[in-house]
Amino acid sequence: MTARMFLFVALSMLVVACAAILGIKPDGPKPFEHRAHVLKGVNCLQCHRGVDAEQGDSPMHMPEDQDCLRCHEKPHNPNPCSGCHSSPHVRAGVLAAREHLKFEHAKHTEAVEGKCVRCHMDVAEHDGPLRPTMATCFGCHEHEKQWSINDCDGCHVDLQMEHVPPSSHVVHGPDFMREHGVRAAGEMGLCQSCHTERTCASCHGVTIAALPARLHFDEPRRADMHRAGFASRHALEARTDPALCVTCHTESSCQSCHARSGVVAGAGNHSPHPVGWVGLPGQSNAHGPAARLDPVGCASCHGGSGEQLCVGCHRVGGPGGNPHPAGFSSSRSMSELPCRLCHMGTL
Amino acid sequence: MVSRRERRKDVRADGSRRLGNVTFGACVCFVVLTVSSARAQRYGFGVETWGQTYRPAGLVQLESRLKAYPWLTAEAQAWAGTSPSAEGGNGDVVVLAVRARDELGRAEASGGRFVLSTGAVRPVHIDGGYLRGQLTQGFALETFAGVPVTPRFSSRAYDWLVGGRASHRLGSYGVLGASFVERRDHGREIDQEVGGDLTLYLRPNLSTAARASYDLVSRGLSEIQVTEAWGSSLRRLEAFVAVRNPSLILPATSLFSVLSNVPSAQGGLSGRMRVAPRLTLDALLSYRAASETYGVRTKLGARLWLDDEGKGALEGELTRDGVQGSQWTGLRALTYHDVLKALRLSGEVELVIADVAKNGSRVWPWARLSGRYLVHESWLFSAGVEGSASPEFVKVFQALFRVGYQRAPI
Repeated sequence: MTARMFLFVALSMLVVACAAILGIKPDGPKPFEHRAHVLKGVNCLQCHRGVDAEQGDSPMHMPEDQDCLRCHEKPHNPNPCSGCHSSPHVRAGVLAAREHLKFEHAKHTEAVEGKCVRCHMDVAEHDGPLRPTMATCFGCHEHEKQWSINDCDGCHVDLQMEHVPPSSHVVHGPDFMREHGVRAAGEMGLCQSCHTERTCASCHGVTIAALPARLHFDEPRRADMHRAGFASRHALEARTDPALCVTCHTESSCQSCHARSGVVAGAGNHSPHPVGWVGLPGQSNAHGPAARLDPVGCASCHGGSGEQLCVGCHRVGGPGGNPHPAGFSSSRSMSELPCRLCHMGTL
Repeated sequence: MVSRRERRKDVRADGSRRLGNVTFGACVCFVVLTVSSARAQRYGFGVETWGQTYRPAGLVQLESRLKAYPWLTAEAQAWAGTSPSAEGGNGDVVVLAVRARDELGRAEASGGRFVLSTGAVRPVHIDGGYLRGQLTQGFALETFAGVPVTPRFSSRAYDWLVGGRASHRLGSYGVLGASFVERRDHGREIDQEVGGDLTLYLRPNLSTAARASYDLVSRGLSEIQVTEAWGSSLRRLEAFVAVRNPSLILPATSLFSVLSNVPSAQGGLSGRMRVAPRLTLDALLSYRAASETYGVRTKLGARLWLDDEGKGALEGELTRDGVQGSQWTGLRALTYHDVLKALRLSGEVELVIADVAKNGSRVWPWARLSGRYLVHESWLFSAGVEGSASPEFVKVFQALFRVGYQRAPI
């Protein structure tokens, strides 16, 4: 075998392997050809026998081989029909629907006079999943009362246990951590249809955070607040967007965690500040520019009575110099906080 | 000798702590009574404990829902084993709340300890109450008041928060709202903000959300956020802008509020696309500015399902983030797989590489292995081990466990 031939075979095998890993199977399972059957005038009940009497606790009446063989008398191979003419995604969706939804086909087929298309509208359009959307349900059912008080248990067995993010109304997109606040601003009621008080408090609480990324350590997800090794990179992230931290955390939030882990000033502790952080005038003084960049970071440990540490040097006439940015002005009176700390020397 | 002022302060602190303990006891009793009295009825109940090998050691969560009274819910989330020497006790409460709504959703009331967030009011953890009433079709008023939470029931002196929001639903096109909040600390005004929020659904698969708040004490825009999203969960594109001014978000009495008046800003695009039946790609590109430094945030992520049923997945992410002087690169991978119907194993690793070394190191790895076992879909048992290195610690190892029970309303 020549080197070129070997390369060709190896590349072909690589392409086939990649396609299999990605789920691309030219001869593999495809969505069932619902549309073609509808256009041929096949009634749904011819294949889904007994679904019109289904009462919520029975199987989903997926067609068996014998249902297909009544029309397709000469199958082109002996394998089960659903092995190729049915998408595993769609089947998994159907099974999930049976598990998570309270639903009886029997009641509905009677109400719509056996016209399945009234709910499964997409059947004539494409061969994808045919599960009706919630909007389709609301087309007939007036669930205003249940919707308004988030009583979802009428249809959902347990919405919170479904662990399925909404795919049609509040889409949890690729950067939902950044986006969730502004989305929730006007539609908090919609969020509460799935989430409880502790969903917000787990991250936004000022006591001790109960972060989902940590509590649900057995359900790893890429998108989570303070996920993975956040402890090692939080200082870098805070410096990049200092105001973001304070939208959730109070000034003293960091202090309790640093105290617990021993990352505080003092003998035997690990100081969070590098060498050259504070020095006399003319020496290395890295804390000044850092404080301008991230005043919230400073306040998180040195807020409240800790401000006296700054006042010691930066009071009017002190060796620390003027801490205000260029062009700073304020309408506050010198006798008010925080001005009087440095300008009058009183708390 | 203890002065009269200090004695009064101590008495006030004791009273506040006692009030906290009584509130805690009352809410726990309510949850327990609700559950026990519901035995003859159909009810939903969840309890979960969580633990780790360092302080705080454990967390307990309780949630109760009655099928007969779907308008009433109660929940609690409390830490245990925070610090044995803590002045306020060896525990802490994150949530202790009762929520009631009228049957048509025209009125709603919450009380206890919870996180308040509505409109342009940033989330605030309070011990207090919240009321919402729908006055006419689409027009609603909200009001809230309370005492901002301090850890472990410690005392506060004359500190409170009050505010409200008025909103109008624009038919099926969205919601428009205006809000106000005022905070006091030791009786001094530390925050007074007005804000506006807007949510729009002008077309199917197109949504806009925006909010802005203005600080009335220091006179300036404290926060603006706008986001525009197009597409479904399988193919989505988002554009966003956020500007925040840290010196205006800080309490007006803080010394650090006079250090800087330059806001931090971020704007960019993010997207998601399912490129193959089992492969989804995510991407993010944004420009960041903080004070006089600038940077670009980029993120590329992928999720590969390991089978057609979604029983397992492999995910990876490459990140480059930070402004000048604090830039870092992150590599992350995670996987989970249902090895049995009830048993899931998962693993997660992350490597952070900082451009500038801190305390002599610039590569900080992190990893976690865990397993979860479900029994009859009601009981849950999980255990995991975690190891990491950071600028402060050469190595840290921890163990985690989780036990849960959930009964859904039938």
